[in-house]
Amino acid sequence: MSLVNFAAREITCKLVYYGPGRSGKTTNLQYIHDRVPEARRGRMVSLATKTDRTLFFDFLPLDLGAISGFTTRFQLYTVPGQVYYNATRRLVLQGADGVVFVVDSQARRFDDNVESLQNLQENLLDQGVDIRQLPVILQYNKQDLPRDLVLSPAELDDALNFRDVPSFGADALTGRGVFETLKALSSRVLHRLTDSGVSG
Amino acid sequence: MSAGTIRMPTFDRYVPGPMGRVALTAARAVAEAGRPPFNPLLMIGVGGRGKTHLLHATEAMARQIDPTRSAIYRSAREVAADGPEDHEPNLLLIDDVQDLIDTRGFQRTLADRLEGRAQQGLATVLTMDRSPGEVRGFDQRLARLLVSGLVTELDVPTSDDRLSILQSLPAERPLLPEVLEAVALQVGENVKDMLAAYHRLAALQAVSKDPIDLPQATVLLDGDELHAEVERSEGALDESVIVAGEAVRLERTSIDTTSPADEFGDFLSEVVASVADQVDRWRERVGEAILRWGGEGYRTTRLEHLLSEEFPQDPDSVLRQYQEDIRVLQELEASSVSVDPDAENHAVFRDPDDLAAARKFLGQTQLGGTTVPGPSSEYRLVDFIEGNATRAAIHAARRLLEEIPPPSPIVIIGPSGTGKTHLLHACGNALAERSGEIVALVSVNELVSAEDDRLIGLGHATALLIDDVDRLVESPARQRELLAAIDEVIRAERPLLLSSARPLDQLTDIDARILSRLGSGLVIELETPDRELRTRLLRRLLDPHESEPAVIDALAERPAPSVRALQGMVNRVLNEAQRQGGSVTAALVRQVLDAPVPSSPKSRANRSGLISPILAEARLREKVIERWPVIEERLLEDLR
Repeated sequence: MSLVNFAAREITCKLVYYGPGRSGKTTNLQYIHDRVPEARRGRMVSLATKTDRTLFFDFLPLDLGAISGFTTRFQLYTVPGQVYYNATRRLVLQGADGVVFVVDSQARRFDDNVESLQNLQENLLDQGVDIRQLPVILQYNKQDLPRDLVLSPAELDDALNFRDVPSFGADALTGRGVFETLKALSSRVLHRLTDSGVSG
Repeated sequence: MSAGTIRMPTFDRYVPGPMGRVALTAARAVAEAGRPPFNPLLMIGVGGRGKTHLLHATEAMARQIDPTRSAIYRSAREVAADGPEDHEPNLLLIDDVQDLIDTRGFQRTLADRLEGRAQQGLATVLTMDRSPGEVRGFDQRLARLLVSGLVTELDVPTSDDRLSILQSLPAERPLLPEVLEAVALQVGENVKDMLAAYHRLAALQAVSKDPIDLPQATVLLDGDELHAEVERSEGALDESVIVAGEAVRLERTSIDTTSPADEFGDFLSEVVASVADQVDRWRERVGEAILRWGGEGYRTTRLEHLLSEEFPQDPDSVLRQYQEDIRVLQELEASSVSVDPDAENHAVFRDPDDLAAARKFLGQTQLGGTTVPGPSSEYRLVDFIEGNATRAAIHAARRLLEEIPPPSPIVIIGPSGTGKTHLLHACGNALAERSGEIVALVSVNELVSAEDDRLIGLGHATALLIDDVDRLVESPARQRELLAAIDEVIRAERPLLLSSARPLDQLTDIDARILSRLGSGLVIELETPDRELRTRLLRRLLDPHESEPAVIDALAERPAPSVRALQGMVNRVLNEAQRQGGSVTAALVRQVLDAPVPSSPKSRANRSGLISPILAEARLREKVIERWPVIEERLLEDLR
């Protein structure tokens, strides 16, 4: 991963939204897409099936312009959540600089979250990436649903966040927590990218 | 950070009031001109009038017009905290000078600096929220200096201007015109407040089905009601809720208007801060390194130079290399001290930009004043003729000279007279031309018979070249000594070049350890000169005599086992021509070379009698003489 290219004066971050099917990854991207001034965003590419589920992946490039002399680009991807699209997931995951794991907070979807989280870890490991070394943020989505249907962020933290990564409650449809999540991940990715500078 | 500054401030985006136009024009003039007619430029205006925006716009435009011109924006507090810059920037932009009110000492420093900059013709632009005279207790000299150039005032844009600001903002779903107008007319005095109100409304409208009308906007902006009921479009209903089988009435529609209105702007400003923090962090690291190594007496010129650059290519690798060079210096120093305690803290070990000098110093220390045999200066690499037979060897020699670390060892194999010695000496000379190199060139041929201790210290040479390695066969004692030297040079990754008349696998009597060291390197064969090489060589040898092409052809068509043999042929022809008093012709060449060669009894004694005349000639002129058959003959030879 070469995020900061001093020679070309470029910073490129690839951020991947991961999680079980129907957890709201594409919704996250759509919300961001709608809030970004037109000049700053590329076309959001969404390859969806007829039933509006992500079959391949969504891709949203953000061109943030020249920051401190560096052309800064963010590339946001989602993976298809359905279990049987693992090949695509691995492809999208390649070279990711950071991952947002979008959790479906509904209690009845809990097992899907666990399965997807394990799948993330395995896929990263196959690419030689230790999940502990990669910036990961947990987003507990759908917190707007009635209390008796969802687990609270505290409960989900207990159950899923054993690595103690930053986590955010969210409601991607209204946008609550979407930018908080993105900001947290960006900050972690950006702070990691040059920390390895001299020692590495 | 306000929305106004997040979107890369430019002059075009600044909407001035009637008086602000002067400030705008003046700032633009500073950005455009290397030496503005007024210096400094002071812009006065209360918060929200766009002071920071104008400074950033000036900085951006100055850089855009002339990237080599350094333009630096700093808040006054940063200027005070940072202390003096190493290099005064061409354009210095200082925001909120009134913040210096508590730092009287620094006010004087700033006054000195402004004066100095003005004398050098360097432009300075400053902002304050009130005029210097109104700041009680401000340093009088600074106050005078601040108003010595051009003082401009930033005022409130007219309502028309305010409206045009709002209309120029990008919006997916623009607010209703009457709402925009209300925002422009009613909200706050400064532009920041107006923009904040606008973004709040825009964010609400983005998630609501119907556009926000005037009464709604008024309610929202009055702050009486922070939560507004906004119907969501039905298409956005979460399908998972329906799946749950319950007709859940979503109560998500209360939207917290206190959340940041411009989420993207907010995100962007955080990214900007992170990136600036990260890409500039190298300065911190370099600064630390300068303090650390400078404190230990090391020269830090390289790092200081790096710091003075705005955007160096790869600061971290420069820093890494610098630290690596320091490490090398420390090693060299330690090695020197182990030989000579007086070498400690010698100045030569404090300059990472001249490692060669330190290496040379170490070499001299280790040699303890003795000298090592060096290359003979008459051989040069340019004289070595390149052809198919020699190309590989020349290429290897160049690699030895150019690559760091060099491929090592390089072993040149070739029959006698093909130019091994020439190549070794030529490489040795090229190496010796570099600063700090101690080049040792020894011929095993000489060593075998010599009884001195010339091998001592060879391992400390910065380059070791050994001629005629195959001759080591004759001296097991020398083999051990050379092995030690070879090992040392290989370990230090210094150039090691050897020659052998015979392939390594035929040198069965040489210590297997030496052979394995040599075999692990680059083994190159110098081949018997082919016709192409012979022709080139002949052109050089015969050139002064203006020989006709036929002469060169006649000579070139004859096979020669080595360059030296070819030289012998030419010499014989030239001698004969001289003796006859005529010029060199092709006929003469044939006459001389086809004639039986006067052969020595010695060589004939060892051979079958079927000797090629050319080969015999070559043997005669051999530098490396075959082992004498009997002692009597040797005495005889010595007597001659």
